[in-house]
Amino acid sequence: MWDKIFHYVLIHMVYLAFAVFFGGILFKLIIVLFSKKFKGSLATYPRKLPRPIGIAAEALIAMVLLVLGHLELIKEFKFIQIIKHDVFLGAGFVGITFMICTLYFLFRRFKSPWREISVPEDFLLLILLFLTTVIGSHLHIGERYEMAQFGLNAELYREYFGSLVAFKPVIPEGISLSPHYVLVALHIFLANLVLMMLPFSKMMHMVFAFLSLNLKRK
Amino acid sequence: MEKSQIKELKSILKSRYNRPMKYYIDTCTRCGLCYDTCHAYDGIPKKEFSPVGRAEVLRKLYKRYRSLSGMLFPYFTDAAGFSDKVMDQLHEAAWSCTGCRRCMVNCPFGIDTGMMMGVAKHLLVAYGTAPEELVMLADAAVEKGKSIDEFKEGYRGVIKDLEKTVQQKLNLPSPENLIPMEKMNADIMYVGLAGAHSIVNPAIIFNAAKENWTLSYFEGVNFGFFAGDPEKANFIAQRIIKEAVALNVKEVVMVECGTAFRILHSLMGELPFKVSSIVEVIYRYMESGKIKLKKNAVTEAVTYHDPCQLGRNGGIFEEPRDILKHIVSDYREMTPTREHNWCCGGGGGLGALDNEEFRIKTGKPKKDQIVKTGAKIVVSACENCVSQLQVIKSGYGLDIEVKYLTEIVCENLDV
Repeated sequence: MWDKIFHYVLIHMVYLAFAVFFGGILFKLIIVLFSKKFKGSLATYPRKLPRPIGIAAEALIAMVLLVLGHLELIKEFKFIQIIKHDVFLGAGFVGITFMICTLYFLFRRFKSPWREISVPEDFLLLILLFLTTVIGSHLHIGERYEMAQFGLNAELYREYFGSLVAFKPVIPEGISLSPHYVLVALHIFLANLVLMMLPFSKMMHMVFAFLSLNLKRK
Repeated sequence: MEKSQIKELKSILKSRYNRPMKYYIDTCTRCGLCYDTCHAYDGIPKKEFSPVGRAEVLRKLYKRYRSLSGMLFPYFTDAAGFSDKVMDQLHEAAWSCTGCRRCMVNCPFGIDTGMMMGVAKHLLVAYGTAPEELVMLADAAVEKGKSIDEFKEGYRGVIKDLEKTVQQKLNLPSPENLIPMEKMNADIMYVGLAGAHSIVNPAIIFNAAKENWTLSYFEGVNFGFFAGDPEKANFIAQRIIKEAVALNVKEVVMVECGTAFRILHSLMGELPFKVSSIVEVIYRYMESGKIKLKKNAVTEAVTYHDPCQLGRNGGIFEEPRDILKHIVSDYREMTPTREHNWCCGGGGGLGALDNEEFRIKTGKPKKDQIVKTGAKIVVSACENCVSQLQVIKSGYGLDIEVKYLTEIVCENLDV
């Protein structure tokens, strides 16, 4: 039974997650673009960007690096290899940085005044992001530093992700027969959830932030 | 709550769900960076008086009725439907916000809580708990717009008296036509307020500069906007626009009232004339030599309070400072200043309500700023700000004098 569930998570659910992710963002953008514009100006002066939240900037950089790192798990991209490195990008520190950021945002929510303004969604999303990253980091660091003969290498991931991109999905035996298969499935499952929730949660700020900031500078 | 009322409130919610609102509803991460930017929260540290706390009350309504996740998982998103309790929370939220938009300057996503509270006020109008004072003043302004001919004669009589004051100040032989009205093709149409000071001081300045100007029949203040009624707000603004178009004026100059300026300057879309603040015009006259101001005539320490709607929401920062630096020998800047300046706590219609104790408490950051400068005279260019600064002065027993910019300019005109 678990084999079937894992197979569903690693193949069908991935396609579903990406469809919901892209479809959801497109749906939201269409709704926004066809909505009534504000006839006046909402500018504030001088027209400059607001102060950043500090650690959010680090989380953003780590997030971009995580996306780039995952691209390299599909195939080799020359533009990512401008600075020569082993796959996965960042030698494990990118994931750790992202975890520290999510933990910071999570623990902050238990403290006043953030506690008063937090809603269940805030905790849920941060826990989800943290768990996704902690398992992903475990998979990466275990392989990279050859801990306990981990055996799940970048080539296996490339075979798996490459087959998904080519719409000829296979789960290599190196992954499906690995004792760590459950972790891979769990990581992909959580990542699928993040992707599906993004367009319909406050994570949408990743897209709308640019548009709303543009309003105050118009 | 009755079903018909909920239906009406839902339709308002829908009608106000424009593009910026869609961003603001979806984008806030409740990071809390706006907490320490609000003067109300600084004065009374209570969630409901923080920008995010206020916006969340409205956001939970939008989530309940307009968002998929809110409809499916109301607990997780904290979505809530209309109820008397939510409307009470909305009242507290909306009527503690001055719309200063200091939080917007500091928000990583540029969320305009002031605009969101405008929607909240609109809902409160329909719910029947909008402040009566503001609703009545808005109604009076609308009535004046509908039957202006009945008001004209009485108004002209009042203006005749004010012309004599202008004549005395400028030592002119006759008071005739010193405050012209209904003058076609004037370069400037000036829009004042109900108070005589808002007409006399600018009239002195316009006459000193030999300006080709005319006075509007209407007052600049927009109680429809303050009350949160978009229809009345639009009607009140349109009175001025129609008058300016009918007289074919080149420029409409707004009185020292931040909101009046912002509404016409930024919120009414493209207009067939230029919109300026009286502050910009005085600066223009000073720079071109049309008026002469006494250099360093005021020796006491002077500071300037940036009205939020002129400064961070209107971009007028340097002009008032340059005017003051010419007149006074000891000009002192507040900290923080310009776009980061603290709101005085009197805007958004709050100054017209019976809430003095609240305004004294929430005016604390402004009081601290003033005290820190050591200034004896605080100058501002906004009716609401000057009234609120007077409240802060008496509430905290400050030894200061509060003045309008036009007032200090007129006192130091070299005529």
